[in-house]
Amino acid sequence: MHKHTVFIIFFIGDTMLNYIWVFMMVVSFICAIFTGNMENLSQAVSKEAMNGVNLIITLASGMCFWSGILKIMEKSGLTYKFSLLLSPLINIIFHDIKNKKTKSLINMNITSNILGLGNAATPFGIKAMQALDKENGFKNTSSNSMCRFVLLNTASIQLIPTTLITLRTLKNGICDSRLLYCIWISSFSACIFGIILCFICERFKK
Amino acid sequence: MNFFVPLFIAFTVLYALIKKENVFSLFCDGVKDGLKTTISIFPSILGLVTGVGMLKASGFFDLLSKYLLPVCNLFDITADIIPMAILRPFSGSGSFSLLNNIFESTGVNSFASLCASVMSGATETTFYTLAVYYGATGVTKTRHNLICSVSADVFSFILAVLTVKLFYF
Repeated sequence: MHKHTVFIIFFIGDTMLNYIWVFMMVVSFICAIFTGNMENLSQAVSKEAMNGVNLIITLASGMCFWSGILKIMEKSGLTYKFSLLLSPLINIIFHDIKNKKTKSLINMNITSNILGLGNAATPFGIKAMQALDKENGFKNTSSNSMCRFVLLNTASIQLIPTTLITLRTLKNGICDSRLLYCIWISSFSACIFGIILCFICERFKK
Repeated sequence: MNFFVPLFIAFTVLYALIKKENVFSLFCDGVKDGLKTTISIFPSILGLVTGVGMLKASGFFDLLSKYLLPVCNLFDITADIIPMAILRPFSGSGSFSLLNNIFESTGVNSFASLCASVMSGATETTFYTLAVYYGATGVTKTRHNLICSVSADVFSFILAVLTVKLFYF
């Protein structure tokens, strides 16, 4: 079953959007024939493209401002300080990794994700994956720790989801601490759930 | 929230100043990076907002809601968030376009909008992440990774609905 998993992933990652977009265009045309919404649909093309421009302008303010703040955190060493707080947890999850350098790469990746430094997280993550692959005894097959590491990235926690908050604030929506609690509870529990699932799978599938 | 964000910013800038960094020029550098990111996602945002808007205008979402209604009633959710749960693991820009659309059609503080907000804030573009990390190494057999990641996403979506109900409704 796992032989082709990665090809499915590549298919989904790279070309899925291709199909999703074509699906949107074609299905909306077919749907409009049946529902008689053709006039709405043809108006929507120009109206929604305008909405796209509006959305990007809405997002731009937050994206630029927070990139600025995060750059300060990164260069002043605050990101590194944060990563020290995480290291006990990393030691538990990656108890089978002995190499300190690999662990610190993992740590910096997770810390960057939590702080919302997406652009910094990916290079750390790729280096960590390559380091984990070196320690991996099997060729072409992911090790237990690699699975756990990628899971921490796919179920990643972000302390302040800045883009979301920008969008909600500018649309005059509720944006209080309750929203953050909802997000933290959901993403943190999912992360724990995923890690436990990983440990269980390691037990039963060799 | 009102307290946390300003504190976070003030602390960050002050810390950098104490560390003798040129705070404002670092900030400006970061803003430039942010602008680059914004420009790089602009084409996909424009395309996907138009796509989602066209689906909406064609009545597709109404049809979908109609057919999903029994399932949604069973779990006591609204059908508006189903497309969000499907699109979110595949595309960040796509889910943001959808989120924007849900805000506009149901109001920014509706149950559907809040659920969709939590969903998009609490999860990642799972398939894209898997592709990037396994693409960087020579690994082709990912073992239990895919199933664990997708289960975690589903778990997170369920919790998103439950927490929004708990805190807001």
